[in-house]
Amino acid sequence: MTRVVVTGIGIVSSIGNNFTETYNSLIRRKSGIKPISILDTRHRGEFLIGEVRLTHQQLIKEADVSEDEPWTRTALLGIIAAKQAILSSGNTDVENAALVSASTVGGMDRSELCYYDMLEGKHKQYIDTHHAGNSTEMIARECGIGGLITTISTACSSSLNSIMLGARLIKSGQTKTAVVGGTDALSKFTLNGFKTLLILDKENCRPFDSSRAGLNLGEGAAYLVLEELESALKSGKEIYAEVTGYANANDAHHQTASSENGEGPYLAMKKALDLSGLTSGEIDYINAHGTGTENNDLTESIAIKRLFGDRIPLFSSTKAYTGHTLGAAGAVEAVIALLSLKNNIIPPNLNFSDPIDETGISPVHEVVQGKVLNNVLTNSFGFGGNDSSVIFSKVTGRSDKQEDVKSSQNILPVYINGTACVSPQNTSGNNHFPPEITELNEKFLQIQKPEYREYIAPKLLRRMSKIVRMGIVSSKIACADAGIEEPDAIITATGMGCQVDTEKFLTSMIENDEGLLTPTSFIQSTHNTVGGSIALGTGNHNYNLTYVHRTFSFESALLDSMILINEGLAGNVLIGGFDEITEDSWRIKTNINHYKAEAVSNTELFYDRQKGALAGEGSTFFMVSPDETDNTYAQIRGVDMFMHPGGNTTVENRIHEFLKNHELRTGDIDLVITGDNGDPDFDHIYEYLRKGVFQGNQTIKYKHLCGEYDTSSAFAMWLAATIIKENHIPKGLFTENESNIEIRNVLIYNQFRNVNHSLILLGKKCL
Amino acid sequence: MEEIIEKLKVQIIEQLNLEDMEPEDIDADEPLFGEGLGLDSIDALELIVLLEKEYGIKIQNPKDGQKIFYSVKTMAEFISANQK
Repeated sequence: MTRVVVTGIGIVSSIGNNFTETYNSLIRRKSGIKPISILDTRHRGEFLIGEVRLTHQQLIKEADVSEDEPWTRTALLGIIAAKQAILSSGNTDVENAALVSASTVGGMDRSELCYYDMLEGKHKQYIDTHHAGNSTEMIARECGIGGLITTISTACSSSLNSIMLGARLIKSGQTKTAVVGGTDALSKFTLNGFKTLLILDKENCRPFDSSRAGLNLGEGAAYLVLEELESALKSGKEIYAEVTGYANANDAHHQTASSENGEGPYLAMKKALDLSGLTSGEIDYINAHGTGTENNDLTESIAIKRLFGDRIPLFSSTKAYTGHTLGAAGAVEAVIALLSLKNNIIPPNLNFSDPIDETGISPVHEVVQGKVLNNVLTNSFGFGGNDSSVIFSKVTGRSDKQEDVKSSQNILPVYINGTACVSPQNTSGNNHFPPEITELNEKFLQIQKPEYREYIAPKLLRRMSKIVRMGIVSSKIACADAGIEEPDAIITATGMGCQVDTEKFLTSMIENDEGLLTPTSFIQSTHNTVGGSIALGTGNHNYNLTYVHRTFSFESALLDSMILINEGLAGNVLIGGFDEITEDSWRIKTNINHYKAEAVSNTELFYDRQKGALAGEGSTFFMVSPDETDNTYAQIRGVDMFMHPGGNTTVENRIHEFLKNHELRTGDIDLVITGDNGDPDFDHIYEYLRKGVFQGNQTIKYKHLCGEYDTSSAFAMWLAATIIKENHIPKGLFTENESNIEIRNVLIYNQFRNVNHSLILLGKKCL
Repeated sequence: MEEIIEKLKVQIIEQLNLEDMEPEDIDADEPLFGEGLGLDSIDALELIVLLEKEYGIKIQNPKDGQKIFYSVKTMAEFISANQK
């Protein structure tokens, strides 16, 4: 079994611009919580927050990047911390490293300043910096990280989940090195959002204290460099710790509040402990989530008591130092836990005086020095009941001799045993391709609405925007199709997330000048709303992750599901990809030619000369399992993602290499499904491949059916699965090189604007 | 009082997006939370904003909401007692 270690750390938060400053603040009890001075909000003077006290220009300087680009604060903070992490690992070669980053609101710090201007076509350079994957791509570029890149967004547990995924990518042989963490800048959007929930303390927060009255928000970024123990030892690098345990679980209790018995937090800590092979008595310190809200701290205390009984480890929350840094919190506190482990020192829980009545447990409130720490655990919990724990341990002994060093990146295939698709076509409610293609002549394609009430109770329906509705309906149909009520994991993917609710909260915040806002649209705006709602609706406490990296989102979810099954950690995994289109988001993206401005007939799409793609939306779910059933559609054999190939020949080489890894050649592919979206500036790439690498292959297109959206490759996989199962290619898909051969191997190739390229390989079952 | 009650019913339906409900479906004495209409803690936060937006009344401590939002009638009583 490969062991994974931390060889580099980087951090920027309100208590320091690097780990040395952070450490000094921690032992000197120096909090970063202060009156608002950077964020331009009308709530200045009203709340205390943990700001990184650097202006935009100072951040650009600190990050050492060009001034001429449309930087978001989120990206700059991320670049600063990631560069430090790589530097502190002795300048690890990251050319082939993976980057797993996390963020809750992506480039919102910038979008909220110019939203209405962007609608009118101004500030064009910032339009494409809004999505959550933007900071990740900027970090990859500035740090020269060239391997697999993806982004996770599960509210306040996001970046602890990045660390978990990074370790799993290394253990499963997907990469040897991974840079993992998260970044979130303060924004008016989040400040006002938390204000509507009435959980902001106007004074310094007091985690685990009986008088606690809410949290202070913060901002920051932190990254870790993870490597195989073997290679770290070989290079003689300083090793901070081994990642010995990690887990994600779902509280499945409420969208924002945690349960009375702390089931989700308990399960996350318990599963992480089980994985580490340690006993509960061996945990020397817990860096708690401890936000300072009445609800979290009580629940977390209860969960800690449930797991550790009478022998509760020393614990503290460091949020009274940094504030709650949201998507960055998991990584920020992981770095604090690592500093703690390395220096045998426990940072105190500031502002504590009396324990919570119900549990009576007290955190460490003075600096603890001189106690040898061997294993530390850190918690992060988020909206949508998303709970994660990671355990770091001092490296003991030598590396185990690895019996078989797997050089192949391949993992065993899995099976699609159920599926459902809501799309602009008549696809929902049955699992076959519709007999007739719906012709549409629209400026963007919208879903054909299923009968929501057949699937969702009116009481729940009233709060759900379109994306949540279509997500839940398609997840339910996919589960029913597979005959599985309780999947072992739920993995969702969305490029742009809950746009309806985000726009609703953002526009009412701007129009009401940050006054009289209500919480519902804010709560529903998180990227993991659909995944969390599925867990909540079905009482599912299992692994629940959400990927939000543009057209890598669904592919990342797919890869994660395959790794989970190969790890033996899950049997049936429910995965889904969904995005929704709104009038505003369509208009904004027509301003930068991403979408077509004028209506076009979908059946004439590929002859249209207007710039941009035909925008669309949809939701597609699959039940993926390790074994075949009577209902199996197809086998998923592999997935690959790559950035900026540089030229069409590089794409061709990547396709050959991908197929070779699966012991196939292009001649073995019976059908190629390509992601042409009607954009004349980019569809020529597909055209080139059809004349080159795919010459002689039967090919079809699909985006005239569903439109262009980040997770549309899920629609393509649905199409491929149904074609394989029925061994029939429907009419109207612009088939080239039509043939009557049996459809055994199907390759899906998709790219968006020549930036994010992906490949998915499906095969007939029982090959 | 009756006037406030009728107005409140309409405002609650709109604020909470109770799509299937008509004002006459809500009994002014029935509990809004739990057993009755089945509202939850997020709805309570919405109702706090409703009071501020429509009636100019600010609730400082959300815990006070439990009594005030017991039913449409208790809300109406609170409004008439606190409206300037």
